[in-house]
Amino acid sequence: MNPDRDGISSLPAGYPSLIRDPRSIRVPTSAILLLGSLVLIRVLPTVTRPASAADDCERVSRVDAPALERCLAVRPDDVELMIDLADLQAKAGNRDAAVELYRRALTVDPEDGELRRRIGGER
Amino acid sequence: MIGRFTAAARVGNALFCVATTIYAILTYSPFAYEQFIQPNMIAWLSNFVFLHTDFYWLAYCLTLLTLVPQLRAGPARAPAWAYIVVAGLAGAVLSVVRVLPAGDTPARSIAVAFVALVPIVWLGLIDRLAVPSNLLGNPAGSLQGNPARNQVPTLIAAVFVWAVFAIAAPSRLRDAGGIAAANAGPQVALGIAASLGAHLAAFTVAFLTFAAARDARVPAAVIVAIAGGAALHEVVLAPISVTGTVSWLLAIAISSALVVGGLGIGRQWRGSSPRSTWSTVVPLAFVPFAAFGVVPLLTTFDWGFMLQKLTALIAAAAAFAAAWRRATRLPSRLPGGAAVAGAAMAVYAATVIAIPRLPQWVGDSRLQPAFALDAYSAADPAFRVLRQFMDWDQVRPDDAAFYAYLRANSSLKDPLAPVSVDFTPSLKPAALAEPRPPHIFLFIVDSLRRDYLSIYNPKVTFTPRLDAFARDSFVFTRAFSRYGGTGLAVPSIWAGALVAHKQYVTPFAPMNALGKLLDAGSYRRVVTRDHITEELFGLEEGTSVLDYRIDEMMHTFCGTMAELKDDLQTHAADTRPVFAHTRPLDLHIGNTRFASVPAGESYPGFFAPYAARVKRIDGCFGDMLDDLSRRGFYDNSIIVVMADHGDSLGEGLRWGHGYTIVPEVLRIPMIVHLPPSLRDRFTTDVTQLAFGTDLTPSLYTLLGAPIVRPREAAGVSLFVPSGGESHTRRNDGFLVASSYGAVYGIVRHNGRRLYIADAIEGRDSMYDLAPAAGDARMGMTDAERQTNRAMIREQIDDLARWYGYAHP
Repeated sequence: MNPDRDGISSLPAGYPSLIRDPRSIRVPTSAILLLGSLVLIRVLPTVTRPASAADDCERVSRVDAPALERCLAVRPDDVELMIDLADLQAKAGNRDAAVELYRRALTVDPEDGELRRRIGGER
Repeated sequence: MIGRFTAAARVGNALFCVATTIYAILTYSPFAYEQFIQPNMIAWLSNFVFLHTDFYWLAYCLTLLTLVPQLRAGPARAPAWAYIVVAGLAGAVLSVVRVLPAGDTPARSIAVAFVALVPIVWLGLIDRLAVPSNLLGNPAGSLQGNPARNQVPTLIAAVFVWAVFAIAAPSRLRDAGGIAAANAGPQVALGIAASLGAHLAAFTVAFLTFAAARDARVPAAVIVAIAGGAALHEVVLAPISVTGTVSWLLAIAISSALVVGGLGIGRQWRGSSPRSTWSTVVPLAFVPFAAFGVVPLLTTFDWGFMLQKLTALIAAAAAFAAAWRRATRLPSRLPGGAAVAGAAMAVYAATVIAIPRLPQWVGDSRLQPAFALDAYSAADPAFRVLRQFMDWDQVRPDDAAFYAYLRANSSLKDPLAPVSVDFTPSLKPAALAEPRPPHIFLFIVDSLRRDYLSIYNPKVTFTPRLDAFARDSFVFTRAFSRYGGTGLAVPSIWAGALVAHKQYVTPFAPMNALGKLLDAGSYRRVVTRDHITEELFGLEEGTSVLDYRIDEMMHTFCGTMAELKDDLQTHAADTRPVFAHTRPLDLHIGNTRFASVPAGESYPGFFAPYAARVKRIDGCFGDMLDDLSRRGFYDNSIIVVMADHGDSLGEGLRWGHGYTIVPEVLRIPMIVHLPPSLRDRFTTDVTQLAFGTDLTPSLYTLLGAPIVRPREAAGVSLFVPSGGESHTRRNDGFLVASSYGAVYGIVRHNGRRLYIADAIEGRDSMYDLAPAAGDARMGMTDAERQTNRAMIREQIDDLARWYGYAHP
């Protein structure tokens, strides 16, 4: 191939040498650094995120007293857990334990009328 | 001198064109049209529309003057003549035909938004031809040597922008009480450190992008246009519910037009003279001006921090541009090379890795890094906007898909057929147990916060009449709006149910459960005319219309009560029961943010202009009750005082409502007075979870209509026959949403938990609403996140099935 006959030498500066020696093509440093920076920004937060605490209490069975007790230890202010557990205690005839749990729930939410009614009902 | 006059004229013309585009975009977004344009909330925009043709001709004449030299001769002669002819013809069309769109023609809105940008581009190209310059061809091309070696000036600019906004932040935070005082120091320090890392990383990426573009022979203007488009898409268009492909096309078009026009204006301004020192000084000086001057001004009337973020972006871009130009004059022998970029990114990486682990390292469990960064970013818009693009708190695999789902289901634009909301199938007058139903007075005070009423907050001393009324009524202590803005909150109250996230599904009559009840009870309607009652509720013949000639934003409680008293007097002989309904806007943020406080009044601990208006409402409400008592109405009326939503009055530097659903926006007062005859027969638990959507089914029950809940999305009756049990909701989650954007939430645990998924900012949060918690942010586990997101999806899916629209 005769480069001059093909008109390559008339191309803008830089192109003839690239065509004659494609191995001379270099990816600019700036592009490499840019790519690396973008990958870092995208990936780093994901791979370094601290693991969330294990939590199966969102789907805990409302009739599983041991599970409710375990979750209550993890979520000591969860009124719904206290009520579910108290209901189970009341059903099992443990009225004092039920009232105690309702009272504990009232300390978190003193304005909850339903809790007051339940305490009244268990007395 | 001529060049500078031309440049000034071009700026004026561009402002006109951009304002036209803004207006067209606002009409494309149904919520923006309904909430900003219909009620004339933005006065300058209303005036602009009114005088649009006049402004057009003014801009045309000024442009004509500037084009005189080009019309005579030169390379720009043909395009200049073409512009004069085409723009003249367009002006003639504008003069005889209304071109500006209304809110119901989205295709036309988009077309106008694009076409309005054409003059900017056209004139920019003319200027490029008319003014030869070798200074602006490709700014990136003038950088010599290894670009990484000249990064230092842009990193100095990054530190400068970071430092200026960081210095401004603490005092703003202190004023807002956005950070807990107990460990405010460490929290602010966390925010400042994270901000430094983010600034260094962002400026590094920007520098490398321009450097890579130069190497690839891509004009810098193209990069600026794309970056500007991305910023407009995320920061401006998404918050006003312009999303998807249309948003990207609009954003890129606006950005490109501004770049082309800006380059032309630059040529006209400078001619062939070289850049002066001012071209570096002015952009840098803008940064402190923005941080200490502009941002504080914008705070009270911003829309979801949009304007503050935009200001910070412009300031950062100006500083970067100044630094970039400086870099072109430095020798390429500066030390560093790739190590400079690496060092900057290393600082960023250190903050990303270290900050979430700090509580563990320092053994302080009170330190919640995510909360600290959220609070700090409210005071530092430069950091806030960077977090939006490079947040490390929201990096779970399903985040993007979930937020895309929320956006796709928000502010729906395709037409929808109405559904029928029937609490009592085949409701007829005979279905009402009450032979002569009581009067109903429904006062929905726009933006009324419950903590500005003494019955909810003992610190309040300025609402004695409302307090007395409340003591004779049922006061629901955990009432919420289902929507954080009037646009959907009020229709949902009338429907007694969630409504499609669209403004609006029409005709509304099949969904107007309240209207059906009023018809069955043969009520005489006395209703304030506003854009929602007019469009949805219906002001048909026979309705007494209040506030008829008053601009909607000027509707005041006192003014409306005066009209209502007159109406009751005029129709004293009418034996039909009365249904009166008004939504005064005294307390709307648009009216209170710049309002003054009457001389001699002070409200320590409260937002005084707001409190002063609450006091005035209280007085007029008392007078109205006196009037009702005199007429013998009081003991034969259901009187409801509530709000359509609450309002942010500076909490975490938030102001207003609409764009989010934080606790102070969702919580509402709800006070229901019953006539003695009903009070004896019905009971309620005022501590139960209550929503605005429960009002209509409650009225059905009180009027004796047997109700069947038509859908899970519908409300329930808050009242039950005496001796009955109130509906319990403690094990359910209830969907709440912003009226105007892709922000959804779940209220659970009998109103003690609020989960928020914000697809605009791209973050989720949870609040503890238990009485002693003070509506504080709380941490959440991945399981809680998944549970709440599943509830949101489930209820949005149910709405989609109900309204029969396809959704992702």
